[in-house]
Amino acid sequence: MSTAVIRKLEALHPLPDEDKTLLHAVMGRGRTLKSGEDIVGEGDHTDTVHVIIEGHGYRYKTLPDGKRQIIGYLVPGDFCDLYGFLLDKMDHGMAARTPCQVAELSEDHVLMLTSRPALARALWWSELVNAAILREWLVNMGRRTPSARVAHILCELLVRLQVVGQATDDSFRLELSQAELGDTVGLTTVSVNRALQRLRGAGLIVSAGRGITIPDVDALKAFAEFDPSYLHFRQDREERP
Amino acid sequence: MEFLPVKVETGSADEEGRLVLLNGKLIAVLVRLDDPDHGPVVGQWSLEAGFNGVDSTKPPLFANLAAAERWLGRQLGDLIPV
Repeated sequence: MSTAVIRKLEALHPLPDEDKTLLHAVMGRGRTLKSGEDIVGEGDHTDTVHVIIEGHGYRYKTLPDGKRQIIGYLVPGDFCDLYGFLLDKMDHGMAARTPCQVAELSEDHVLMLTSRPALARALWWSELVNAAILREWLVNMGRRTPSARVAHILCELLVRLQVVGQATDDSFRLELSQAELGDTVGLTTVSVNRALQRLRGAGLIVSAGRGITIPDVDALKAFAEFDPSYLHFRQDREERP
Repeated sequence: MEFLPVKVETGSADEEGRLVLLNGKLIAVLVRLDDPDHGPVVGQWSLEAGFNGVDSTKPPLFANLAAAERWLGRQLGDLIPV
């Protein structure tokens, strides 16, 4: 049940076996959420820290007129709100996009984890990466064309899912509607549809049912100007000179 | 409001468009969604571009041009001087 969390954290910082055993013990089996259900609602207080064990979620904010902006994706192994218990009210919501299994950790659990040096470093890394992803999304929304924006999101999902063993070298299951993608990249469903058509037309993606295949990963990354270094995974840090 | 037929290059089968003019000035470009890829909304009109207050990050789709005209009229009525 804790495989994804261990893979994610180890991709950021090596962990001794005792740390992995501890992670495994605190994760437990988790709570089952239906697709669309809130993990933590916008404005709610939470005493527990949520970790995605299985399934996909997203972070969002809602505008007064009901429009929604998706501000991040949550994949297996992700801590949703590592220090969220400090806040009176969550400044954004988190919801399950697909059926999810979510672990709930107490503040004491977090203290236990962060008192171990390797785990503490891995968790610091994961929070740094969360902030880096947000910065990258800001650039994506502000400065890339619709098709490059969509391509960049697909590249990010591919790499993040590969790290936790949920994507092959060139494909993953995409349980994402065009409306959700529109709310992610700040485009209308029509624009997202055209962007996807353009990517398909250029042979950069192939979608069949709910899966998406990327025939030439390097070509898609080049088109999206995707540089995985902002995800700070050790594989990319160590490959660099 | 005037609706002038125009062909729009969208890279898809959506090419039937209208330039929307108010007092002889362009305020919006509409395109009919004809590409089968749009699924259930095929046949509806989409706002491709808007000018001087005709803007929305999430404009609705319009069943026909009369519905588009009503929405555009409301947008112009909502103009706030900045």
